[in-house]
Amino acid sequence: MNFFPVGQTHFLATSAFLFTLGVLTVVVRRNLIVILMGVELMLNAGNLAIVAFSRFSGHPAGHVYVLLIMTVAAAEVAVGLGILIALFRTRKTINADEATYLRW
Amino acid sequence: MISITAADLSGISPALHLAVAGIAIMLLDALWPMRSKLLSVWITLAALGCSLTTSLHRLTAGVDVTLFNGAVRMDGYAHAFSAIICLASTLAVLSAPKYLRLRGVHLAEYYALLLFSVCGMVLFAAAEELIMLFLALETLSIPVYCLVGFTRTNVYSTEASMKYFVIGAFATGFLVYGIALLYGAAGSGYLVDLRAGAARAPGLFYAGMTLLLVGFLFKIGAVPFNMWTPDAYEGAPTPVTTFMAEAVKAAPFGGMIKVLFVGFGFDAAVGLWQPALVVIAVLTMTVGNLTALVQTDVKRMMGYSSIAHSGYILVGILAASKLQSADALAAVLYYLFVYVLMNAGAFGILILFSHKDKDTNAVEDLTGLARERPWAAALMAVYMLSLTGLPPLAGFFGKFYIFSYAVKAGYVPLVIIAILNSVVSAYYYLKVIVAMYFRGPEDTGRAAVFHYEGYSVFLLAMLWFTAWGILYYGIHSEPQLALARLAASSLFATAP
Repeated sequence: MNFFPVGQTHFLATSAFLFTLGVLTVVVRRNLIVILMGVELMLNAGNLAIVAFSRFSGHPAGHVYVLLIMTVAAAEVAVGLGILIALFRTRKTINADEATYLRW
Repeated sequence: MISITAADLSGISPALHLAVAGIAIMLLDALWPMRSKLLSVWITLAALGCSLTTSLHRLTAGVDVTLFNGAVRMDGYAHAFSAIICLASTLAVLSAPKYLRLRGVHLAEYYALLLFSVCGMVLFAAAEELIMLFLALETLSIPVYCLVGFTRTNVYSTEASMKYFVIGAFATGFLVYGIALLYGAAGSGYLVDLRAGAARAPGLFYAGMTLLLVGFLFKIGAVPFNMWTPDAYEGAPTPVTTFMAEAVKAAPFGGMIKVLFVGFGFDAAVGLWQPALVVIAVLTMTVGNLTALVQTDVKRMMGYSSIAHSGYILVGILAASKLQSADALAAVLYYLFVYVLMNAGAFGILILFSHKDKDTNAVEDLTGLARERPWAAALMAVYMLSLTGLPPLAGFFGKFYIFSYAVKAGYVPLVIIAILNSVVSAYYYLKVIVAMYFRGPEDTGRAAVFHYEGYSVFLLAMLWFTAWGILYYGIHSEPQLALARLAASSLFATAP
């Protein structure tokens, strides 16, 4: 029984939606942790698209790509949170608008 | 059955030396923390030296091997980039020990992180597949985020690190999505197969190409994706700025040129990236130079100057893509080599006069330097004149080759804009020389700010080598150009 056939287009539309959401989060929100979440959303939108392409074209390498991208994303978040803590210790804030020592 | 053979490992030995040395330094620091600091400097220099000589040797021997089932290709092009990057990193390492020791952050991790980053850079120019490209780019970037925030109690350093990280991660997001779309369009991750995607699924292909290019342009600091450059340059500890301004600057061009030439190609249908890059090159040169004019901080000024230089390099890439000639691409490689020398030297002088409590960063801080420290002032003058592009210094020949090939390719208006920009840039480079030579404490109304607390042998070696290189390799550019031509022709052998 297939009431609602889900095809490649659906996956791609979802991933494009997630990517846009991620970009908007990074651009609009000012809390650095939320910005990090936005970046994660962008990366995972890419992952979803790769898995969909891989699944529907029968080209299995895409599954491995996704694992590698997830690993790198985890490493990136680890470093990002470390930097955030260092920033919080010196500045007592994690709001991107208040990081204004450097500007011309 | 997929296996990793001894040939694979020996093929990527320029990158392997660096990774092994980085791990060795981390182990050494854990097991023998008292003596690991100076030892790690020597291990780093040895590893970089090994990679540099291996790369140069294989470049001249014409080694061209495809490794790891086609994911990595160590050809002349990859070896040339490896050599440039190892040279740049060596210069950056030489500038670091004294500066870090004065600030109490002379830790072995600094060298380990730097080596991991350099390992990523070497692989970036060698990657033949999208995911390898991505992994190399992240291996290159993530350690640099940490290095920028290395003086972690300093508010400027942590803020610079945060800004660089957020924008870098944002760029990574674009890059990954671009990779996803290109992979979907082409049905394969190999760069040589990408072009087929334009016919199979044009919409996906062009969207993917745009996103991938946006990711790259962020990394090279091209306008309008340049906002991180000045902040990161100013806030980072000066030895890290040195590293960023030469190695981290040169490396992304390695992968970018390869993706453009081998991946997207020059066919009319696929080569839509050329007009886009023309616009971006003009914007990058002009915005970089005009903003640099009003800066009072040398590090920040050099940040904008590095944006402008990205613009010149883009002109060179455009010329090479139009002419499809190895000679034109060789000019770009030669320019990168020269650019590494000039920047390393300029930041080296700032490091020489930085002391524990305060960096010497403002242009005003250098006032009257020529009277007190004539040699240092003379070296700085050489670097600044070379960055301006005055003959007979290497900076002039770098620009001259790039611009002459661009004229040959028919980009005359672009070259006129580039030359006008070079003229504008003379103002802010010469501002430093004027402060050093023609002004004294009586003009600024305060005592000399720069502090000289003895030299480090490492730093001194770096300064004299770069100055010698700028004077020597300008006039004797032929051996370098011959090597660059060898490298460039190996890239064009695979390009369509």
